[in-house]
Amino acid sequence: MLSRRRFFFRAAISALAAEIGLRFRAAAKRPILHPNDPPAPALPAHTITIDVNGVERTLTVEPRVTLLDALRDCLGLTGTKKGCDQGTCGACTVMVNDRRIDSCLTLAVMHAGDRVVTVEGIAQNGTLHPVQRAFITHDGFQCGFCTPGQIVSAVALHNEGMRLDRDTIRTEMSGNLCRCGCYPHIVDAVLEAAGAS
Amino acid sequence: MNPFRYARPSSPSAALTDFAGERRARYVAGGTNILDLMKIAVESPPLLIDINALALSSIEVSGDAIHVGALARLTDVA
Repeated sequence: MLSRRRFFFRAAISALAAEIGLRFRAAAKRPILHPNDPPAPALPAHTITIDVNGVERTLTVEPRVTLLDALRDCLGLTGTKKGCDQGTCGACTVMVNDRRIDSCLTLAVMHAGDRVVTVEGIAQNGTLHPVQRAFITHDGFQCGFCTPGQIVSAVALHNEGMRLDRDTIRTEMSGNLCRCGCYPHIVDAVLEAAGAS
Repeated sequence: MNPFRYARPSSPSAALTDFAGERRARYVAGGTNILDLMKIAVESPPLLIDINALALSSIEVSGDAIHVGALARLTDVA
């Protein structure tokens, strides 16, 4: 016996079944990537030469490898840290042609032929840089994760030649974050290193 | 980041030719913005055209105007 209730009930069930059926068909058409499938072919890699800490290094990398990943993963220079990978924390600070930059926001291939200095290249022949000595004297770190970036940034700032006081140091190094909060000691260290020259 | 091709033209006309060959390409200078957006897949250009080899970084004062080249660094302008 057909009633409105029965009609609407059956219509709803049919619509539901049709919807589920359509979704199953769409899912069946989507490719399933199995772990054993061959990986998508990488795009051609570039072979580049970069002067890193005074040594010519030759790398073959895809364009999308950041300078940070090239230094850490290809060259094993793990002193430079990946803090945020988006240019906001400064833990990846390195010097390129004497200018401090965030190495996470630049590509290795963009620096073919450039001169890169990482924290591993700050000490010369086993002798600590005045900035490094000052960081030790003033205990400018706790966990140490931001420290390589802080030191490279401070060395480059030192070379920028401006007159440094506490406020200028805070402004000019505001791109190097320290989650442990060592800022007072970091400023002390940079100030001392600036005065020592 | 998506896989992409990379080009580093040495003249503005070469840069424009590269772009004409791939209209979805993006230019890269400092990389602060484009690479950040590529890391979160907001931008996925198949080709990045590096314009750093072009001589566009001059900062010139003439009269009461300052002419800032497209590649002039913010720190240099400051």
